[in-house]
Amino acid sequence: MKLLDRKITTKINDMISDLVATCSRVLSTEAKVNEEASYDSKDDAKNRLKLVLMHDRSQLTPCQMEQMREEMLDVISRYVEIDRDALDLCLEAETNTIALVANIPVVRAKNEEEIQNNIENVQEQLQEEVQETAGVQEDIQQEEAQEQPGHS
Amino acid sequence: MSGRVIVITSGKGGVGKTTSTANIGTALAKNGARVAMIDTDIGLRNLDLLMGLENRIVYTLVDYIQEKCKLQQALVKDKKIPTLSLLAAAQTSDKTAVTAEQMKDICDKLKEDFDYVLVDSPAGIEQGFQNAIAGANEAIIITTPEMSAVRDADRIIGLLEANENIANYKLVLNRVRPKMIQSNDMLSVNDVTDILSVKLLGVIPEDENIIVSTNKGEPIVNMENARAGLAYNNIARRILGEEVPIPDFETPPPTFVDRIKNIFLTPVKI
Repeated sequence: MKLLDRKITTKINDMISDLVATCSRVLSTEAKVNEEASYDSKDDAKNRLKLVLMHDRSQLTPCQMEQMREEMLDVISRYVEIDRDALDLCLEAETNTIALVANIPVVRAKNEEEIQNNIENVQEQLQEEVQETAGVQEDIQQEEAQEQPGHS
Repeated sequence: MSGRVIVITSGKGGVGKTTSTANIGTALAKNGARVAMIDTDIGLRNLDLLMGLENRIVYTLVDYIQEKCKLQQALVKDKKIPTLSLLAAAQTSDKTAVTAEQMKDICDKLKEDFDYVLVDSPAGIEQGFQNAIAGANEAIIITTPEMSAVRDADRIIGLLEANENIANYKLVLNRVRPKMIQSNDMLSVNDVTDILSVKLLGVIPEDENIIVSTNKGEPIVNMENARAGLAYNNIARRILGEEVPIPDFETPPPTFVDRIKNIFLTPVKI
């Protein structure tokens, strides 16, 4: 008997809550407007998840992202004058692919002469670096050559 | 014909790997398949508890590896279904007691005698997980509609994709609360499959009966009319190749007022 009672009461409770829900939905158009205006927590979860998964999947550390940003800035600023602080680099996902999206505000275009100068400067720098490393390598080889007879 | 080896995994702990293994295994066996379940969570075994077999375990997976017994001796038969067996994990050893090769060897041996070998994976992505997937050809990923569980599932999917032996993997979304989805306070089934871009094997609604079933050591598929039990049985039928539609949790059921409206809105044929 007791079991039956409990079943009936739960059923009645269900019915009442269903009725209350429908009544409140029908009566309160005001509440509905508020509901639409408020942001669903599910959307929060979805957006946050998408962003975090994109970074997880790209396997780039924040440090590497920053380095990439700096290097890109160096290259771009040889050709155009840009606002370095305003550069916005982020990852975006479209279905299954990840895109790297950069928004770079250009302050001023550089003229032919400036660009040529910049490129020459970079080439000189590169050559210097190459020579330096070659010099270091020679030093190492010389040291090794000196050490070897001592060992034998 | 050799059997299918399916690993059940999730990344995050506590999302229902072991419960799913116990229930999918039991449901498959109830549908006539020969099923072996392996608990690979060494040191933290629980599959025996959910199956109510904790008092029948004499030898474990580690005992077999250490050649203390034969594989047949380590397999514990289910209380009710004779075609369902469990290979329990050791409670005393740790994960280093087993290697991936040894796990693969066990799976290969078991799939000769069974139609389905279900491997219950431990949480995490370390050695225990690597062991669990070593012998598997298919995977079932368990997740819940929570951010942390979905993120971890994505990590697992990445690792499974990189594994050549896993031919296919599907998702089971566990602990879904239809009412919260309807009020937009829970990620919906479509949200999760979209984000993870993975095929869906089934959806398990949140069900208090799961706790009761764990208390009794009786899988919920053995309970009549339990929502979660029905959902697990549907998953087993899908694994067996049957076409069973996945119920829609997105739209609320028609209310009393809707039903009356429908009566007036349906066009009457004259």
